[in-house]
Amino acid sequence: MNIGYYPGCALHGSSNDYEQSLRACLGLLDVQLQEIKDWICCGATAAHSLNHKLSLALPARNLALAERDGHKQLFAPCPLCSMQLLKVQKAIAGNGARGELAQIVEADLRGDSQVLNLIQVFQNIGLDRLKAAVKIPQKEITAACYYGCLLTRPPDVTHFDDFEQPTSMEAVVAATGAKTVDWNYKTECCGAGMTMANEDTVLDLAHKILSNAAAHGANCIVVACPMCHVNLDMKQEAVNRRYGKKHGKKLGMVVYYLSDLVGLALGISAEQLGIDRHFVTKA
Amino acid sequence: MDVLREASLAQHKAAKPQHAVVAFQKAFLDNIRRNGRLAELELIGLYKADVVWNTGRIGVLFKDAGLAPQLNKRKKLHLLPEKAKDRGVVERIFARCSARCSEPEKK
Repeated sequence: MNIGYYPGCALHGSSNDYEQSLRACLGLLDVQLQEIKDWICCGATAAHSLNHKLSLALPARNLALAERDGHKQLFAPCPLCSMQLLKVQKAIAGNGARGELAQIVEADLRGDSQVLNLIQVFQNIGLDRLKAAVKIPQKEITAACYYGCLLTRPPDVTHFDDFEQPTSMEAVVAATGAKTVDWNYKTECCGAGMTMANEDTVLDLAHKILSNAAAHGANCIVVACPMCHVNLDMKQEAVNRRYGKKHGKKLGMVVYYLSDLVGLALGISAEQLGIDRHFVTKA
Repeated sequence: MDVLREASLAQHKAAKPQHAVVAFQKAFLDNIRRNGRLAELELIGLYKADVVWNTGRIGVLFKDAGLAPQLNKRKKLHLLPEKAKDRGVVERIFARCSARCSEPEKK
């Protein structure tokens, strides 16, 4: 199966371990990622905070490039990128912005590619097929599935799963033989792009997420977002420095990308998946 | 919320404590305008320079400096970042969507 692929800046930057994991895992499931030629940044939080028109135009250019390349499906593994692409489709369908956007981005724009997040890619592969391909059931894993803000929200844009109590990631994790926990923070915000500009807030949110997962018996967190991974994995040492005394011990919570966990179950090594490049590699 | 944010920025009424957030987001968009894709190290450098220049908080220069070698060890630092090939179209998209986001704030 070939699908269009919009990596976004994070996966070609400091979250390149996510791309490594995706290519190893999906490649083994016979999904070939065809990167859009000459894609550009979607503008991320900065565009939708400062300039509404730009926040539509930048992802519209990528959508147009994907359509030009003939991709019926477009996989965007970053939920923010994915949501921005879906927002463009909604704008085109709803208020006749198609003509203006096409003019701004200098390309035809139909808005008929199906935009997919990582969970939807696994759903399309088929959970039964995934279960059948498992070589090493992940019985030692008790995962807290963390959706963050944008996989399921805003619901009138994403149209994906229950936006307050989603369960689609748990179904994929269960297919690997791992267990999951019910917990309180699965759709709470981790602070995302505020890591640089407002670290205090990010550390507070990350602490709440990590400690709640641990309190509910999870031995790892599973994410499908590069920013969530940065805030929960790379920032975990800073969280421990600030809040460790409160708990009397360090948290030591491994944070996997969903493709890491599936890849391990398929028999791919941690090194091939890039798990050895995470900051927290063991509990 | 986004509409209010955009309006407060246009009228130079963003709250002072939020200077760092606004500075980061402006630096982010200017980075994209120049490169088409995010150049992380360039963004961090220019953002920190802006905060020091506008707030005098020199300490921000050294914040997270200890992470650099750890990121480098994990092959997550890119001294030569990717750029979009057609940066001309990116410039034109920004121009058509207004030049407002890179205007300096009134002091």
